[in-house]
Formats: sequence, structure tokens, C-alpha cells
Amino acid sequence: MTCREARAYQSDSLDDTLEPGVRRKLAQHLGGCPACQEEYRLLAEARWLLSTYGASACPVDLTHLASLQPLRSRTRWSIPRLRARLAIATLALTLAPAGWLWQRASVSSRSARAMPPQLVIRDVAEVQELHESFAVQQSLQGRDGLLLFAPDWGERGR
Amino acid sequence: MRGHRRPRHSNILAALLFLVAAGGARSDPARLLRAAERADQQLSYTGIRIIRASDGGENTERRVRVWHLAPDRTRTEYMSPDGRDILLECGTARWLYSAHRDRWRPVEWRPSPPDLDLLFRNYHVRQQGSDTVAGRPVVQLSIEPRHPGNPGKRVWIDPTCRMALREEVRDSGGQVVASSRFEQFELVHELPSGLFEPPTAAAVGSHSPTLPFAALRPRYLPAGYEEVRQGGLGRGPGEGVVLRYTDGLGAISLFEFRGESGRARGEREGRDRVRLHEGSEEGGRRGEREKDGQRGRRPRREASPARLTRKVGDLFCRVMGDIAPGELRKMLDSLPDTP
Repeated sequence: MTCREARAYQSDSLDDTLEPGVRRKLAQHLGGCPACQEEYRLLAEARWLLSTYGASACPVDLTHLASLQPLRSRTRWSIPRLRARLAIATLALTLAPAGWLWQRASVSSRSARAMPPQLVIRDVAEVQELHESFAVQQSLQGRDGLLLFAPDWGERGR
Repeated sequence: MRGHRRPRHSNILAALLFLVAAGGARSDPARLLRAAERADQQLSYTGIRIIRASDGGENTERRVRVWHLAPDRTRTEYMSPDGRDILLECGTARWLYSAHRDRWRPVEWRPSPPDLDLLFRNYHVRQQGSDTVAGRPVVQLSIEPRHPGNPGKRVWIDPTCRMALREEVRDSGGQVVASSRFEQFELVHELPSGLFEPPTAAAVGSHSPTLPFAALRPRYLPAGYEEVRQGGLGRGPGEGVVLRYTDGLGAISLFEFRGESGRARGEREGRDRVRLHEGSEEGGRRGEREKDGQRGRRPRREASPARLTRKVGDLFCRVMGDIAPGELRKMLDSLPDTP
């Protein structure tokens, strides 16, 4: 198995959807390829990090779309059509102002100088490097911090 | 055989233009600096840039070829013997092509917007003279701290196009900690769109989850410094928060970790170890750099930032900055005693 193939199978391996033969070949490849091993480890860590996020409110547009999807299951549901439509309309009308208020709060929080904006949570390899990247951004042109450290981040799969 | 001569009047015109522009800079270096901050949004150019960081006399350089299409498209190719990595920026989306891995990956990075008002409050800006960078006449500005113990900077700006062609930052001891300059620079009107064609890899979407915990904020800050950013960090099973402070030029970072991230001295987890103790940094960093080899060499600064730590409850707090350690100690000691 080549590295390119191994990378394509890693996510399915974590989802436990690989066929036994492919899984065996992937395990053999990971056993002998440190780069792919590191990639696999980072992918597993990212999945764990995502699993630690709490539940968050779903954006209204996504909810609206999801609510419009026909219910599909092997069991036939006998929900009266009129009731379903009323339920969907009520849900949309309830969530629309909530979503609008949520977006407004996001914009106002970004523009508020009192509370600085937040960065996303991500894995870091070295605290020192984070500070140096910020320091270079502040002292030289903003992009220089990115230019200095981006290749190393790319190597570590950041 | 006679060669072709440039008409004299064009030389005179260029000289006059430079004199007028330089005269404008003499009267208001601050205005020139403000114009230079906006130059990237207005100018399209191509060239070769060198960004350098020094570490104990050993210089590490990133030599890159740049194509920039105003206002926000940039292609940067790393001119490295190890392989030609490419950084592509289209607006807020960024991708990095790793020659080693032969693939694109999205890059998540937020620039720090320049705050020149904050800079001017804490630094004097003066014109030092004129010079030449990348074959272009430039005006040299010096940026010196009002509060002792902070870094200083020099900027060389082309007054005709208001582009900063060279920059150099020194710590309070006068040692160069970072520099960048154009080796070649050429203004262009347009560039082939194919240079900025985004890869198929999806860009990183912006999202703002909540911080893992409420950060402790110091009651004392060195003169001129303000908090400008805060962020969450994940590190293995642990979690942390980082607060960023600047006075417009200098930088201080305050890291606060909880959980297993606060590891004892000497405890290692391959590349994921967190160095949270004073005194262990130098040897650990050199050892890791040697292990990483050529590819993994990271630019380091000659005058390493001061680092101090303190434990508050179950939080491991670490502050770093190019400022007198006494100031950092005051900052750390002013943290609340309980999380």
C-alpha cells in the first residue's frame, strides 16, 4: 500500500468501515511508515477533540433545510401531512429570530473592542513557537509570521 | 558601438519625484508608515523576499518568491533545496502545498491587524536618512520605544509607492531578533490568474467555539501593553488558553494550561511535549532541533524571549515576551491567587 492510498483509508479506519483485508494492509503500512503513523495519530486526536465539544445551537438555515427533508425509514410513518407542515412552519418561525439574534450577537462581539475575538482550538506542538509566530506578526509585516512557520506547520500536519 | 541611452529628462524626473516624496516623509514619517501599512491592498508586485530569524549567531532564513495581486491574493514559493513548498492566499482562505507530502492542505491563520495608533502612543517614529533596497531608493524610519526595555525597529520605505521594502527589529539590547527585506522587487499591473487558482482542498471555515475555561487575567501590565487576542488551545488530553498582549511592536503571550498539559520536567511525549519549566528550554530545544534535522529546523530568535511560570490552583501559567523579566514577573504575580 502506498502512502497516498493509506491516507485515503485512514478516516474510514477510524470509522471502522474498512474491509478486513484493507484494514490489515493499512496496519502493515502504518507499522512501517512514520509519516503516515503521525498523520493517523493527528487525525485520531482531532476526532477526540471534536468529541469534547459541547452541543451548540444549530444555525437556523441548516435546521430549516433539515426539517424540509422527507422522513426516510424502513418503517412507514403515518403522520398527517397537514400536522407535519404546521410543525415545520412553527419550528422555522421560532428559530428564525433566534438565528438572527445569534448572528447579530456574533457580529457585535467581533466588533466589540472590550472583548478580543477568540481563536479556534487546535493542536499545538510547541508553546514557544506560538509566541514567536505572534511576536513576528507584531514586529514585522503581519504575513511574515505565517511565512516563517507555515512550512513547519505543514510538516506536522497542523 | 554606441549603446542606447536613457533620456536625461526621465532621470531628472525620477530624482525630482524621489526628492518630493522623501521631503513629504521628512515632514511626516508617521503618515508614511500608515501608507506603507496599506500598500499591499493597493499595489500588485512580484519579487524575492528574505525573512530571517537569528539564533545564537546562526541565521535561519526563508527565501521566497512572491507574487501579489492587490488587494488580497498572494502566491509565495519557498526557494528551499528541500522542496518547493507553496503558500497560496486568496482573501481569508489559505492553503499550503507541501512538496514533501505532495499535497495541499488548508491553513488556518488569523493575521494581527496593525494598530498604528497603539504603536505611536508607545514609540517615537523618526526619519533616519535614505538608502537603497532592491535597487530602489528608500527612506529609512526608526521606531524607538518610549518605555525602556522594549524592542525597536527600522523600516525602509519606498516613498514613491509607499511600500516597505525592508524591516529590522532589535531587542532592547540592540540584537536583531527578526528581519525581512526584498532582494528583488517589481511593481506590476496584472498577474496571470492561474497563479492564484485555489486547490480543491476545502479552505478552513471560520468558527468560534467557546474557550475551555475562563482565563485568569493579570492585574498588572507593562507600560503601553494591551490585550489584543485570546484563544483556546488543545494539547493531547489537556486544554489551555493563550492571551496575547502588544504595545504596537513588542509581544507578550500568557499561556494557561489545565489537565495533563502541565507535565513535569523531563517528561516527553515526542513532539507533543510542553515545556513549562524555566531552565529546561535551551537544552530541550536544541536537542529537538538536532533531532528534527534540516527539514524540521525552526527559525529561532537570537535573544530568546524571557519565560516565567507559575502554578495557580490547577492552572499552569506561563508568560513569554521580549521585555525585562522583572516586568513579566510582576505580570505573573498579579494573576488572581485562585482560578
